[in-house]
Amino acid sequence: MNTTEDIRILIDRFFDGDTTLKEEQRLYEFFQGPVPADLEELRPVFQGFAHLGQKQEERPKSVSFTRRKTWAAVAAVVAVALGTGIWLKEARQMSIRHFPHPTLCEAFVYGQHITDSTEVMNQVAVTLQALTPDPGITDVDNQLKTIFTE
Amino acid sequence: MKQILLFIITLLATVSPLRAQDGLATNQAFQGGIVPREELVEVKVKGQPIRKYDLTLYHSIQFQADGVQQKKVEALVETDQKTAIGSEVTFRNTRKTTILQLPARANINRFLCYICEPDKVTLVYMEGHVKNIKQLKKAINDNH
Repeated sequence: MNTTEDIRILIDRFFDGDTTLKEEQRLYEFFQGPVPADLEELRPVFQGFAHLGQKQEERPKSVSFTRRKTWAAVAAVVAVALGTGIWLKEARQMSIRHFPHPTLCEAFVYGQHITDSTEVMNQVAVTLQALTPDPGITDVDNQLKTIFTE
Repeated sequence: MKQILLFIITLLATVSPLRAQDGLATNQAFQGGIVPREELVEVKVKGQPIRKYDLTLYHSIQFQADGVQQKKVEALVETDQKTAIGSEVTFRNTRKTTILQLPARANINRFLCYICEPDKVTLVYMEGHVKNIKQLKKAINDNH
């Protein structure tokens, strides 16, 4: 079967919707060159189809570009989220360094819960004072007192 | 998996400041083992209010105690004194004051104080960056 016969068969199959992409490409390429006179009237048809095919080839690029944009947006969001997370962590670390312990100030006086910090700290001050010598008295003085009062 | 476990362990270790008292014999008294908690005056302070003393944690209990109860507390203090790295006992009139420096944990120094008066007992557990008993007393004196 010669080429022109093949082409005629392909044309029939084309209009029946039975051609593969490769076969269609072959038809488009055929109609770019000289064709038999009886097929000349089909040249614009196949050139038109060839042009449409190029547009279809371009479409994946735009889809690909859209996908790239989407992934870029996702990456940007992730980067911002990571950056924010790192910043928050650093801020918390700084907070921990400057304020290493959260504040708690409470007392339970025979079951009654006291949260007035002044009242609580007064209790602390009284107890801590009991641990130490009187202000103004040196350790030597205190020890001498201890020795001579035992 | 190890990292997750380590994270959980670290988190648990930092959740409650009072867990550092775990392992002390006197913890029994802090938990109402000598007299019920309703008969205690208990004070808990953490953070900024005690920073002036260079402390990070202050936990005290005080209660009226008879002779038997005082002896029980003394026995608990003596048990903790066995592991102390420093101690000081002072007497003033009828008051006996024992200050123990306990082994540090996580670079935090720990102190246990016991004040025994004729009918009253005070126990104080403290943590902070003061290096020793002398510095602790100086920090207290400097702020009074």
